[in-house]
Amino acid sequence: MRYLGQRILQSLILLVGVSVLSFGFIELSPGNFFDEIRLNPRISNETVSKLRSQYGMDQPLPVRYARWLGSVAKGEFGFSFAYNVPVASLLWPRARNTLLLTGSAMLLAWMLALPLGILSAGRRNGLIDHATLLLTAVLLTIPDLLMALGLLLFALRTRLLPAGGMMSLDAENLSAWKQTRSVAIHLVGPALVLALASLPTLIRHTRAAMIEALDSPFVRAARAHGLSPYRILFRHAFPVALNPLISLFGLSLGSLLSASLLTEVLVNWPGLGPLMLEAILGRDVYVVIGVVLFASAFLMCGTLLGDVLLFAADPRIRTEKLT
Amino acid sequence: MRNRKWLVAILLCVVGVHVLALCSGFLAPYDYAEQNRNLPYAPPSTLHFRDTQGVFHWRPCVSPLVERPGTFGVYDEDANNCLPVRFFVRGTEYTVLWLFQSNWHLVGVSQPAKIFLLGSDGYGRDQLSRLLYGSRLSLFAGLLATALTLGLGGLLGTIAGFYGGWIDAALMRCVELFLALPWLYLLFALRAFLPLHISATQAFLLLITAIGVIGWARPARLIRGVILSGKERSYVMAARMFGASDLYLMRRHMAPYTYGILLTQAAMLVPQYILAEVTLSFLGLGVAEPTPSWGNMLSILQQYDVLVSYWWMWAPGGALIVVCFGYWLLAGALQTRAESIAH
Amino acid sequence: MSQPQPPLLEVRGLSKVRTQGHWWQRQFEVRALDNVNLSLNAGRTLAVVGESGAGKTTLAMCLVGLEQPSAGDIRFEGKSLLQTDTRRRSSPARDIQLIFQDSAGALSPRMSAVEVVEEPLLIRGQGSRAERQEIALDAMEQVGLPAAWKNRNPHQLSGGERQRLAIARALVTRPRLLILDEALAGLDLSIQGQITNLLMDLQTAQGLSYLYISHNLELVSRIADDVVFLHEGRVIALDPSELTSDSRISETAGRSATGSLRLGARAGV
Repeated sequence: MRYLGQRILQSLILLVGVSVLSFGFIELSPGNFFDEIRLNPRISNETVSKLRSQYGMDQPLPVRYARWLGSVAKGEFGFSFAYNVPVASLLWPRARNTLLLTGSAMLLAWMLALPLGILSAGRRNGLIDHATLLLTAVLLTIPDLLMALGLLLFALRTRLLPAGGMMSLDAENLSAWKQTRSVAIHLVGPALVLALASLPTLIRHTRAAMIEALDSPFVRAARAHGLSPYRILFRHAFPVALNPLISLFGLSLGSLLSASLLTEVLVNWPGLGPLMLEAILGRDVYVVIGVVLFASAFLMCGTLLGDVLLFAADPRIRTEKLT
Repeated sequence: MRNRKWLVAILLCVVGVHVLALCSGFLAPYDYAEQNRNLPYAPPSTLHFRDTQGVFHWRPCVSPLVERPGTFGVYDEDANNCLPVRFFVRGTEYTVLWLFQSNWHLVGVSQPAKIFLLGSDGYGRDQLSRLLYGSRLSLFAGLLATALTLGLGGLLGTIAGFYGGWIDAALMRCVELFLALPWLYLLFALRAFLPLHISATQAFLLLITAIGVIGWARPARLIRGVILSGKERSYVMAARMFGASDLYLMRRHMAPYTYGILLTQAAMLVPQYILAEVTLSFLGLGVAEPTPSWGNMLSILQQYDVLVSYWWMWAPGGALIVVCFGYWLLAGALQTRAESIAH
Repeated sequence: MSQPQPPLLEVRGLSKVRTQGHWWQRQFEVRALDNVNLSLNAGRTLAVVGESGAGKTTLAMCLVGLEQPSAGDIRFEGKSLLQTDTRRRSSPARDIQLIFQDSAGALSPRMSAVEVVEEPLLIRGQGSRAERQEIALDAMEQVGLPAAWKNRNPHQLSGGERQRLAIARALVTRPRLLILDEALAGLDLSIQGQITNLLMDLQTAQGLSYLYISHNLELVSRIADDVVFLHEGRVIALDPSELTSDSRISETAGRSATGSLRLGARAGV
C-alpha cells in the first residue's frame, strides 16, 4: 500500500511538472487566440483588449498559472476560447472515447501478440516463428498513417466497415443496444489499426521473454519430467515471462497513445486527438494544455496499473518492498 | 548473413537514397510548383515502345493527354501523336545544393506531351517531381532531427554520468518527466505554441528543432549508463592520476563506447522522425503548400474521392515504406554487429 | 642508518570519512582512514598491511590525489601535497605513481602496448610523437618487455606481462615513489618472484621508493624494509611482534610454516 502511495505521489509531481513545462511554452508563443480576432476589421481594438483582460491573458505568467491552478482545483481546467466552456467539460467525453479506443486496441493487441509470441518461442525457427517474424517485419515498415488510410480505403471500397466516426448518423434515435452495436462496429477498424501498429514490439518482447523463461532450469526440469510441450509453454514458462511483459504493458501504452492521436483524426473518432488538433489550429491554449495533461495522466495511470499488477503478480517484489 | 558485407550493402543503399534526394533537381522532369490546370489527376504516363506507325523503337514515346469532354479526370490519349522521351534535356532552372544553378534534367518530353511517371495531382503538378523534391525535406528533416536528439541527449547523458551527484539526480528527474509523456502529444503541444503561418525554410528548421528536442530523454539515459560503467574502470583512474582533464577522459576513454549505442539509436530514430515530420505536415502543422513534403502530399488522401479513385497519389506512402524498410534492415544489421562485437 | 634529510613521504593524521545514505535519510559515517601516521625514507620500501577493508586502497588513492582526505596532511619532500591547486597537475603528482591490482582493468583494451605506456606523456603534452615513442619503448625495455610487442593489445599479454607494462607506464613519468596496490596478487609464484626482482633492480638503478600494499605479510617480508599495519583505518602496529594479540591480522598475514617473520631479510639491509 505504501508503495502505491509513493508511486501516486510521484505521478502527481510529474503532472505538476508537465503543467509547468506547458505553461513555460506559452511564453514562447508569439501568437495567440486574439490575434485571429484582431484581424477582423469589424471588431475594434478595445473589444479585443477587453476580451483579453476578461480571460486574464494580460496578466503575467505566474499569475495566470496560479489562476489556472485554481481552476484545476475547481475541476474546470481553464477555459476554452473557442467553445466558451470550461475545458474539463470538453475533455471528459473525449477522454472517455479515447480510453475506449485505446483500451480496445490494447486488448486486441495483447490477444494477438501473446499467442503468437508464445508459440514462436515454443518452436524457434518453426513455421509459426517465421510467419510471425514476417508479419512483424511487414507491420514495422508500414507506418500507422498508411495503415489508417488503408483502413479508410477498405471501408469505402468494400463497405464492410464504416468509414469513420463513432456512431452512425441516426444513432441518437436508436435503442441503447443498437447504439452500443453501432459504436462497436465503428470501433473495429481504428482499434485494429492501432493494435497492428503496436503488435511488432509486443510480439518481439513476448517472444524474448518466453525464450528466456524456457531456458531457465526449472522449465528444463519440467521437460525432463515429460510434461507435454503445450503445458510447459503455458502453465510453466509463461508465468515466468509475465514479469517483463507487465512492465512492457505500461511502456506500450505510451506509444499507443501517440499513435491514437493520428488515427482518431483520420477516422474522425471523437477522442482527444481531433480536439487537440482543433485547439492547435485555433490557438485555444488552455484546451491544448488540458489535453496534454489528460494524455499524460492517462499514460501515468497505465504505468501505475502496470506497476501494481507487477507488485501483485511477482511475490519477489512484494517481499523486497516490505524489508 | 555475413555481417560486415551485409551492413555495408545496406548502408550504401540508404545513403544512395539520400543522394538521390539531393539530386532531385536533376532527376525530376518538372518543377514542383509547375501547374497544368488542364491536366488534373492525370494518371501515370504510358510509355509506348511502338510509335504511331507501329514501328518498334528502343526509345519510348509518350502521347499527349486530352481530357474527355464532360468528365473530370478522365483522359484519352491522342493516338496520332507520340513524342519521344529525351534524356539530358534542358528544362526549368533549379539550384544544386544551394550552390549553383543548373537546368539540366535527366528526362523530358517535348510539348504538348507530359511525362507524368507518377501521375499528376489536382493542380496538374507532376507527382514524381514533387515526390523527389519532397524527399529532400522529409528525409533530411529526419536525419537532422536525429542528429539533434543524439547530440543533445548524448551531451546531457555524458555530463550526468561523468559528474554524478546532484547534476545526475536532477537530470534523471527530467528524463523521467519527459519519458512519462506521450511524445506525439508533446510534439503537438510544442508545435501549438509556435507560429502557425511560416515560410517553408522556417517550418523545416522549426520541425527539426521541435522533433529533435523532444526525444532527448531516452538516448541521454542510455549514454549515461555507458558513461557510468566506464567511469569506474581502473584505466580511467590511471589516466586521471596522470593529470588528464575531464574532457580528455570523456573523449579518449568513454566516448568510443557510446558510438555503438548512438548508431543503433540513430537507425531507430530516423524513420520515427521522418514519420513525425510527415504526420505534422499531413495535418497542416508542418510544411505548407506549395513546398512539397511527403506529408502534405499525402494530405490530399483525406478527401474520400481522391483516396478511392487516384491510386498514384499514394506514391509518397510507397516511398515512405521503402525508406522505413531500409532503415529497419540497417537497424537489424547494426544490432547484429553490436552483438557479435560484444562476444 | 641516520637520515639527515627529511623523509620522502610523510603522512600525518590522515583521516577519510565517508557518509552513506541520501540527503533525506539518516546518514551514518564510515571512517575509511582514522588518524594515520607513517613515513617513508628515500630509496626504501614501506609495506602497508591489513585485511580487506582496512583502508589500504583509500590510503593509496589519497596519496596519488584520486581522493581527497577529510583531515590530516601528506608531505612529499617536505612540501604539502594538499595545498597545491585542485587539479594536482603540478610536479608532486608526477612524482608519485600507482600500480593497480587489476592489471587488465588498468590498461585500456582499445590501445596498443606502446600507446598505453606513452599515455602519461601524451596527457601532459610532453615531447613530439617520435620522442614519446622512444621514451615508451625505452621504458618497455627496462621492464623486460621486447620492443617488438609495441603494437600488441594489452589483453593479449599474460598477467605478469601486463603488470610489467603498467610499471613501464608509471616509469615514463620518472616518479620518485611508486605505490603498488596488491600489484603481485593473483600472479603465479614464479612470476611474482620475477616482478619482485624487477622492482628491486629498478629501485637500485633509479633510486625509487616503494609503498607496497598487501594483505599478505609473507610476500611483503621479502621486499619490505619497514611495515605498517592497518586495521579499520587505524594504524595498529609498526612491528610484527606487536601483532600477537590481534588474531585477525595474524591470519591474513599468512605466517610462513616456520611461524616466524623476518623483515629486512633482503640482501644488503
